[in-house]
Amino acid sequence: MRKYVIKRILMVLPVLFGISVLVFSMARLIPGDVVAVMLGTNTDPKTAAELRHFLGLDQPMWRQYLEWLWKLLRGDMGVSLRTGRSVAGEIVKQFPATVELATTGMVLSLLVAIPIGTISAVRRNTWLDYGGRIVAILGVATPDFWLGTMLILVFALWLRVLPAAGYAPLFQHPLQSIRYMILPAFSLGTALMAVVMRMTRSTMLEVVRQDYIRTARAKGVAERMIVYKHALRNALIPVVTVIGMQAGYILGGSVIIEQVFARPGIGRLALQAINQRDYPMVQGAVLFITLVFVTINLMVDVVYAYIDPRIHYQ
Amino acid sequence: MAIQRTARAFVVLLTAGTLLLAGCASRPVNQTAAAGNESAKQGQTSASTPKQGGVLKVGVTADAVGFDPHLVDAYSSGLVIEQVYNGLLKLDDKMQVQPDLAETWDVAPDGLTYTFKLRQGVKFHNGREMKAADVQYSLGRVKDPKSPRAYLLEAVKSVDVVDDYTVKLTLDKPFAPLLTNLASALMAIVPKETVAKNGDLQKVADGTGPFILKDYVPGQMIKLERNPNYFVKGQPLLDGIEIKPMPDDTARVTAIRTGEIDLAIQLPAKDISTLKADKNVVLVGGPSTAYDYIGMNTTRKPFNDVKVRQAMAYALDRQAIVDTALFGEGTVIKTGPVPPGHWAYLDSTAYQRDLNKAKQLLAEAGYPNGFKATVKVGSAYQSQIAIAQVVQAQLKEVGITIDVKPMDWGLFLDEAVNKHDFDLTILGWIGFVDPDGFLYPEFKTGEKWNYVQFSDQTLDAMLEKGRTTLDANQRKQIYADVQKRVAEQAPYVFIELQNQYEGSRPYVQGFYHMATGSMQAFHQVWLDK
Repeated sequence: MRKYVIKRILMVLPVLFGISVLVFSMARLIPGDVVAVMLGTNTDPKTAAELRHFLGLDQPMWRQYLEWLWKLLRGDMGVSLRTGRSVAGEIVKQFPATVELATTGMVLSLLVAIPIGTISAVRRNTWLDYGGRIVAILGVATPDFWLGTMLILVFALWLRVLPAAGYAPLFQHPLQSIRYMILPAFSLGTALMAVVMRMTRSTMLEVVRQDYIRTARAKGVAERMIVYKHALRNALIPVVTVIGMQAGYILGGSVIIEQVFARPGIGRLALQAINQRDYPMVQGAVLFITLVFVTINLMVDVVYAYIDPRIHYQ
Repeated sequence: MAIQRTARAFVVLLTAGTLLLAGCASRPVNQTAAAGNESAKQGQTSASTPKQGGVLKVGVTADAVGFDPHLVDAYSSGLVIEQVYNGLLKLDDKMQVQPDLAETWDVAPDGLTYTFKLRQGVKFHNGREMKAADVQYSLGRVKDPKSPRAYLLEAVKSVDVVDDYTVKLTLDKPFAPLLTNLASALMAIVPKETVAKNGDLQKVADGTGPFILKDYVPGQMIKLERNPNYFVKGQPLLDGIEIKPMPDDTARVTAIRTGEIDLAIQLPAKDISTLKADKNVVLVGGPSTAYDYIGMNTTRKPFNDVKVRQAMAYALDRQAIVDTALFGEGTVIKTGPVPPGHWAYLDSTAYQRDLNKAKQLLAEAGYPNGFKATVKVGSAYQSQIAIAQVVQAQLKEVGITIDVKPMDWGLFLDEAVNKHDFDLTILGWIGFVDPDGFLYPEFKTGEKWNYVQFSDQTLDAMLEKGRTTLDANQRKQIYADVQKRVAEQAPYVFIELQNQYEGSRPYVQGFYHMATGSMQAFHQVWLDK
């Protein structure tokens, strides 16, 4: 087990290298002269030269990369071109809000998806199953930004039970915070809910056909026990992987959802930086989001090995 | 919609190369013409007397991008700055230049010396008294070649301190727009020591204005608090202002309809009719000092031929463009882009759709069967892309085939504006007040914003005369001639003045719309609840 974890961590290194190259290239792959693009119409040569130097564009490529990497390893992501604030500082400040939202969205969706997926499989081809499957297909097919807008119209404008947009820190104003959280968390979690629901259903269907389930039935184990103890626990193993992969989509989705619901967060920070052509900030945010994604996947793989004793990696 | 509106606010600013608040008009624009029954709604409560207290919650489209009046170029920053700082001069709701930190001013008959007498006893938020040296320092900071608005004070040779309360500006040559330029909210007077302490004023704010920057949580809230020592008696009436960036249109519109916020700015065109019908929302607005146009590369075939450019103007039905692409929320430009009500407005029609005339001009220019061209548009600006698509369909009728090419905004600026690599563009300009402020940079030979590379000696001479003539009546005539000449030579096909709206809850009193988008009305807003 320990060997596997170490191996898996070592496998992350080439991925990180790839990401660093990609993020580094971003400012250099933009069509045209990046400094001109960033400055828009402000073509003052002095400013342009300063910016070029700041981005290291006046040096050979390999050197630029190494310098950038060296700074990065020391946690120095530079400062925002627009506000002069430290990029790393801004990310640290904004990230908790995204974690709050993503976690709530995930927990909400799993609380709904796993029971419905299980019921759907156990009561196959009943109206419960059909209902669950229709909801799942709709959930996968609905773009989250559209759903967000619709939820605002229904719950904020028509029913007037929840605020349209905004944010309150969880620990200072818990009640307010939850009110602000419901609609965005639901918009963000819907796609995950749908995927997990379908996945739970199909793996459950597979598992209940296995011999050991038949044996359990033959032994006279209660149906309830069979479903929850014998079947579901095994069926959930592949679901864990899916959840891990979907974490990336949740982070990506936060870019739009935070914008729609005017919440702070890493996604909104990234989008605003893109709109303002604040490259150090864009680079920092993208790098950070990918790092989080890679870490989550690493954790999922480790958890996977832990919960499924059949898995042995050479 | 969300991204595009946010971006739009930004585009227009960058488009102008200046800020919404950087310029200022001279007469009121028809503010409620498009708003119909709004004045009646307002009338119900306006009888009560103004009272002190309460916090105004405002929903805006974008977060501030720094607070330094001399460095920022985002509208979202400007609307905070105009609550915190004062300039020498300001504009009233009729867009006339009024005293602010300067109590009186005197212009020498030759137009080369301006003397300002400062108000005494005005204190910065840091407690120190504002004096002539601060004016010298602040204007010097704007005049620094690195400052994005150095060009507004280009004609100013020196700023001298005569005594603690007297400042003298000496010019190279007469420059008629100077007072208007000084009345921009971004010509703020700032304390030197605060700049020295913080490097710049991007993260802090220390002005003389009616509100003090209390707290800023990026992406969430800008909190302003009443300045109890504000030098205007009886202002401000509010205890504070909370500015919340709400980039999504639906969220912002819903928030004003449900009363989550008290006032929303930059309301989307698509929701205007719904908001007009909502009796809990008071809508103000109308044509703004922002316009959209088609720019033609006058050095590139076929647009180097004035007949082709005129044919383009005759081939388009502007009202149809506004109705189809902009939900009817726009005011068609008849000759030049100065809005109705402005002292330089020209009430005559240069072009109306005439397909025969367009075809005839094309034939005379040697293109009887039309031609092909590409129009470049900033991809984030959905309304300009929508305009481009309607233009495409209309030009097809005279045989002109255009390809619409939306592209990244930064790249667009670089290719079209810096490198002049384009056939056609669709672009906007925002926030002018003095006609010199946009006609000169856009059409004078060799100016940076004259990226269509139009060059006409007759027009150059007129523009030069316009900025050096101080007499108001003469200037009115000059700019009427300028607009006619531009229309006739047609380097641009002007399309429409954008309509802009703000919405407030009925208890918000004392708010008025400014065509420039300025929110200086917050100084006198009060809450009747």
